Amino acid sequence: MKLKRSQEPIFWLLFGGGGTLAALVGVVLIVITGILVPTGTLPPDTMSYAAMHAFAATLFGKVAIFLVISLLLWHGVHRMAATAHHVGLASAHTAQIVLRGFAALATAACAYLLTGL
Amino acid sequence: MTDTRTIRIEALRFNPETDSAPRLQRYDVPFTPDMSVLQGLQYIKDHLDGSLTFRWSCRMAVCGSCGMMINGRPHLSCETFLRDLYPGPVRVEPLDHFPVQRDLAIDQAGFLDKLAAIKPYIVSAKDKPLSEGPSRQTPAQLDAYYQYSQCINCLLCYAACPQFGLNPDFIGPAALSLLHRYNLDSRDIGWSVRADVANAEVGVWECTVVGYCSEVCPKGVDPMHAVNENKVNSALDYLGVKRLLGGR
Ligand code: SF4
Ligand code: FES
Repeated sequence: MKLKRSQEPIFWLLFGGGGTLAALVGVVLIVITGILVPTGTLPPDTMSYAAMHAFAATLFGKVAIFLVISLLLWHGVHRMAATAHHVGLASAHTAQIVLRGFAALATAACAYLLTGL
Repeated sequence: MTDTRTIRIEALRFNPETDSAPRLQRYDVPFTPDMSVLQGLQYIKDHLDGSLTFRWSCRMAVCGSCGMMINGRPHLSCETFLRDLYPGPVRVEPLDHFPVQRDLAIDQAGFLDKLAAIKPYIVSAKDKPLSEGPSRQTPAQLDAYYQYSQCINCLLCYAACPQFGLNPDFIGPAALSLLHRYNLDSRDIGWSVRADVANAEVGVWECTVVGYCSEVCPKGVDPMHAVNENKVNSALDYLGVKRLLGGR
């Protein structure tokens, strides 16, 4: 029996990290950005450009934004790749490469933009 | 007998040596409330058509040889009752995803290779002479693997697994559950013995957590859980910290 070691653990760990983060902060973010701010429950300038820029300029802000964007992306593309495989897409492997390539590019772009702030 | 009724059984017939395609053959079978699908098939073989081919041995959900698709779902035919399928018809087909040897009998050779690959026996650190007596285990040590030791190799979980359907090389639910069973046994050295299989592309990483395996298992084994636990083990192993964090 031919046994070739899988490289899947890297992506699975990113997927798992993203899932944990989504469970921890995903709902909170939706409540803040989707409900509390639009309904005016929180002060109107909570998410103003200046406030967001100031947050993203701190080290904590950079790390938090980077982790939330990149890990949730890795989580999402893992699910989408699995779906492509489940529905029997002939090019599921290509879909996987494209999706993961997208997540990798977006992660790099996110890091680049944040360090430039 | 007054409680005898008749039910139609539609059996898949296929002889790969002579037939170009499988076909369904219909039989009307008298049955009593205590008769299983397996007994229905035995009635056909004894009274209607001696050429119908299927496997069984224990007739009591222990040997694991009578698995088949019954109305599209994997079941042990000896513990599925005709009365529950009345008025029918009852469609019986060989287990999904396996090559057919003849009619309802599938070719298990691929599975047997996988079973051998996971070393389905206790590998201990050193040979213990018989004179030292039995190896003792606490109830908690027994509990750790007991569930997985209940597997009867019936292969229903393979017929339920879409990943095995897509890739017949996938080690699959039962063999990975048994891998876990021996790794969890306090008498066994554990992970290192079977890490190569778990870590492989065709090992735990082929699974996408559909979970139908655990639903169809007639013995309460939870293959999906075994595979998930070993994804954690394999990931720790990949990072080189399995020994630090995952014990044996
Ligand atoms: S895990 Fe369950 S379904 Fe799979 S072979 Fe073992 S007993 Fe059968
Ligand atoms: S005949 Fe043994 S499990 Fe059904």
